[in-house]
Amino acid sequence: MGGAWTIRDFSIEPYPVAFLLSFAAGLGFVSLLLRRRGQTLNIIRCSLALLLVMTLYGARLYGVVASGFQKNLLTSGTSSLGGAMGLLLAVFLMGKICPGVRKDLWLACCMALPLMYGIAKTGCFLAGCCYGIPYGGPLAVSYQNSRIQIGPVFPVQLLESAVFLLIFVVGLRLYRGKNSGGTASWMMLLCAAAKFGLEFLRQEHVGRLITGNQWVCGAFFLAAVISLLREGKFKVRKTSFFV
Amino acid sequence: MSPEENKRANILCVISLACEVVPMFLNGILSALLTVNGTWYVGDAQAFMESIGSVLSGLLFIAGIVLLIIVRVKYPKNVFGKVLMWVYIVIGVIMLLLVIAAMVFLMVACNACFQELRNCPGFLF
Repeated sequence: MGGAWTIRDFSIEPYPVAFLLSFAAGLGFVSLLLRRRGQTLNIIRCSLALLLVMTLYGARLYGVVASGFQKNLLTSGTSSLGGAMGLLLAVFLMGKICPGVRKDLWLACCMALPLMYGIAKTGCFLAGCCYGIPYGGPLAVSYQNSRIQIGPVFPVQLLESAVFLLIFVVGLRLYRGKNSGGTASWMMLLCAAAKFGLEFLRQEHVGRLITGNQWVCGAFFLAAVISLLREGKFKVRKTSFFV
Repeated sequence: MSPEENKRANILCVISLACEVVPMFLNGILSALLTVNGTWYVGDAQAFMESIGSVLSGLLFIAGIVLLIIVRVKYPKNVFGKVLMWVYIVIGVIMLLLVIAAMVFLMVACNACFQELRNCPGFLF
């Protein structure tokens, strides 16, 4: 196993902790952004309730569908892409109920998505799920816990975590208060492209040309491009991005 | 808020409540409807029906929440809506605490089990 890190059992299960933290951070961020953009507390509370329920439902439903309806909502795995779809569907529904919140909620959710994903992936890394392709180079990791014994493999979960937290920071830089048109679509485009690319480094991808997750990412990417084209946002900003 | 609006809000609240209660009986209803000659589906078919049952239960649960949100957004002064919201919140918090308690219990039980196993000769970990 060379110089690979070895991850064993933890006294506290890391995945549920990271999962709860990601929800707390994501929904907290959405709540703050909605408050800053002048939404009322009642609307914020209702939005958060719907986001929470539909994200969880979407995350589990994706697992149910992927299993060919052989698992139920309690026994299926949790999918981040399913969660993202549930989140976006919640924005659509909330926009129908209260049109005044649609744009702000869409922006807040697109910005919060990489934050939630970045935090949740640290849980995957510590728990040993969603692991990478066989790899023996620097930072390779081996899992020797009660659930999985494998390795050395590429620490793709850590890389995903870092990339998505970076996308979140980029989103904060892109955000320009009330006049932040296009930010949501750019965030969706970056997330879809990053997830599509990083999927190649996952064990699940071995022996396949394109995985189901990559098809979904492709659809998100296309939707983001169409949205940017419609908004006319494919021109370089005059303000310097990194300054 | 006019009496008509209040009545409409109350109807939505009753439907929301029904959406939350029906899933509790959904599996029973499905098994009663889909039992063939006194035999419940077995194997893959049983897993499939349980899966569909859970997906439908989830959809009804979300429909209930959506209806309550409609009431809270469009008729914020409706008393039934306010009470129902607090009932859902209290139930949600109790469920969350139960899940956390179950997780802690499982963790303690598993740790104790592994501790015992480590004392067995020939145990690999």
